[in-house]
Amino acid sequence: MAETVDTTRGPSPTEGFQALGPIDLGDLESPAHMDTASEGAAETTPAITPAAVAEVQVATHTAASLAGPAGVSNGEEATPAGSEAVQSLDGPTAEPRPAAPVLKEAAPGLPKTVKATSAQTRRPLMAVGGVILVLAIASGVWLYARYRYPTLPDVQPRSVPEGVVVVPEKPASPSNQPEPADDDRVAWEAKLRDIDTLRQTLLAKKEEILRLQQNYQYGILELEEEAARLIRRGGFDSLPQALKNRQLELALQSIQRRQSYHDALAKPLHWIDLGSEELLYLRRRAFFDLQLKEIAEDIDITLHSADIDSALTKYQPTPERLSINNAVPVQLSLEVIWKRLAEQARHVGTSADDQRDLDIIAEVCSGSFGRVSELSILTLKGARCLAESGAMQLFLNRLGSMSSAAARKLCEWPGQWLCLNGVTRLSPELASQLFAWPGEWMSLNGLSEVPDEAAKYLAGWKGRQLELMGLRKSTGVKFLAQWEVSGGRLFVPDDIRREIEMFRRTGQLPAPAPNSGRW
Amino acid sequence: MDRNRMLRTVCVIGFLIGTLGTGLAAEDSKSQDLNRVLVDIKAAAKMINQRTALAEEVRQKLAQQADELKAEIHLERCRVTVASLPQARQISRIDYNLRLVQRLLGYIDRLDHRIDFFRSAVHTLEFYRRQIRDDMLMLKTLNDVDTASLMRQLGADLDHFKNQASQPLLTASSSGLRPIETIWGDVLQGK
Repeated sequence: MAETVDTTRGPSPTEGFQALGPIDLGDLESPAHMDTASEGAAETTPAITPAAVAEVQVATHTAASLAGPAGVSNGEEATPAGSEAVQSLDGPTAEPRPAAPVLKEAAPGLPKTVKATSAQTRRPLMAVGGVILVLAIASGVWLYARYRYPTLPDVQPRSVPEGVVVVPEKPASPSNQPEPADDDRVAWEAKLRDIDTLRQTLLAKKEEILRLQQNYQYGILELEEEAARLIRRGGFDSLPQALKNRQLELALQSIQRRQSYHDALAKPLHWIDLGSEELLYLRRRAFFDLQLKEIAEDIDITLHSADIDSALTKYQPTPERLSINNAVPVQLSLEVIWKRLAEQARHVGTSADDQRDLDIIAEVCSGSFGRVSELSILTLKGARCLAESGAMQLFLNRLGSMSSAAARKLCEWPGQWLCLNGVTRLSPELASQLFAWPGEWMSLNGLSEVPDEAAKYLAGWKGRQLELMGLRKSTGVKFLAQWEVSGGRLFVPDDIRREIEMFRRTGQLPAPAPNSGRW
Repeated sequence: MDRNRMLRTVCVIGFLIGTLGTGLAAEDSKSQDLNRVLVDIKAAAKMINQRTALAEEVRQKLAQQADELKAEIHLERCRVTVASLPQARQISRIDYNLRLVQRLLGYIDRLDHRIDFFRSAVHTLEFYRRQIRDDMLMLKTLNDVDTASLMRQLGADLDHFKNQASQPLLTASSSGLRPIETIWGDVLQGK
């Protein structure tokens, strides 16, 4: 065993244990520290032999190997102690006895110098062990911390997404001071509102101009009617001849002028159309982009603003911009007007009844309505005078028909009850005008049928009461029923009433009876 | 002697802890790294899904507005009875509406492109998530798995997706817009 204590070479595992002999053996003094293997070895071995020591070495090998490298690092210091220990164990007088006593016995045999050396050796060993312990723990902690959040060298560091993750905290705004974004929103709302306002102004002006244009058109028709009557009555065959009549000449010139005015109004109308459409376009374009402002880039809000500001200035309806001074179109020649009137004059009635109607109209226009119910023909002038009258009820039951223009003018009358029981045929055109009348009660008891094409206009009438007591055919029943459902009060004959009720119950129109000519 | 034994025992235990800590840390770090990336993926997917929802909402609104403009074009076309595009463009309302529809459809096209990208990104993230879970199972079983390549690629993709998701949803440039003729044809066909 002595040859195992060789300080000149590196320790083997076994040697390591042997080199630690004095200390380890000293540790083995207490039986409590002996493991089962060494106890067993001691019990079965009568004497402490090298073999027994070897067994102890094997039994404690794990502990030795764990502490080995540190323990044997100073082989020079360990060697004497180890030699001593081995010598004491190799004693020839050793008798069979338990291993512990043997080991206990060996300890006192150590010389004092060895003890001192052992104590001196232990301190550096402990210091080294402590340093190693600290290093091991530190390295473990360091490795744990490092691999818990490893860095990936090849991956670019993740940038913080802009605008989404990083939401800069807004400093608390001073009270009653709007944010810049709020200012911006308010400014845009005001700008869009300005567009709406200007556009509404333009559209209102357009309506106004259209009414004026319509007025001129009606005035032209009225003058033409009057001029045709003059031509018919005077028997004029040519324009030069007609121009010799001052009244006719002035009528022709008035027609010409009104036509010019009418046509010239197209210019401001066109300008208004352009303006209102451009404003609408700019408003919509800005609105579409504003709604995307938060999620889109390169939206040029400034451009929108500039365009809108420019348009707001450009389309202010100033008198200069609405002026027709430079837009009076080439006037219709009197020759053209003459040809038209000459053709119209051929259809002008000259009977006594016509003359009586003209007289009644003259009375109406002068404010006397005593014979208005005797009117059989409604001229444009007569319609205008009636429409401008303050009467609340008009009974025109001898009127069999009227021109579209006359009907349109008559329906401007703001009265309550309009009786047209002399009308026997309701064309779609006449229906569209009558059912635009703003009054409440209309009597059309002369009608035997209301065609579907005419009845469909009834849906737009705001009146409350309609008399159709002359109906014999159930055409238009569907529209009559719908109008009644919408709140109108309908007066019809019983058989038509039954058909209306049936339609309302079943939603089906009644089948026409065979050979009856009716439904 | 008791003191000596105690000191030595402490040394041995300390060494054991150090050694074990080192090993466990190396193994545990991968698992924790994968878990952390799973959280990152979830957050990124949530962010992208929110952006997708926003894009779809805006797209729907724009499409509705475009449809309304088309309907108005159709009404105006019937009112003034125009058939050809040159005739139609003489009508201010039709011309302006065609331009607005062109603009809106341009926005919609770009939003569609964006939505497609987001959907693809979500699918890619799901792919990564699946692979990470597989790798975690492998790590649990074999105590080691090579995740460097996955982490590298995933990190790059996550950066890309997050960056894209934080960008504006569309660019309001006038390039790449559909021709007015095409839009007019669609209006005529009621599309």
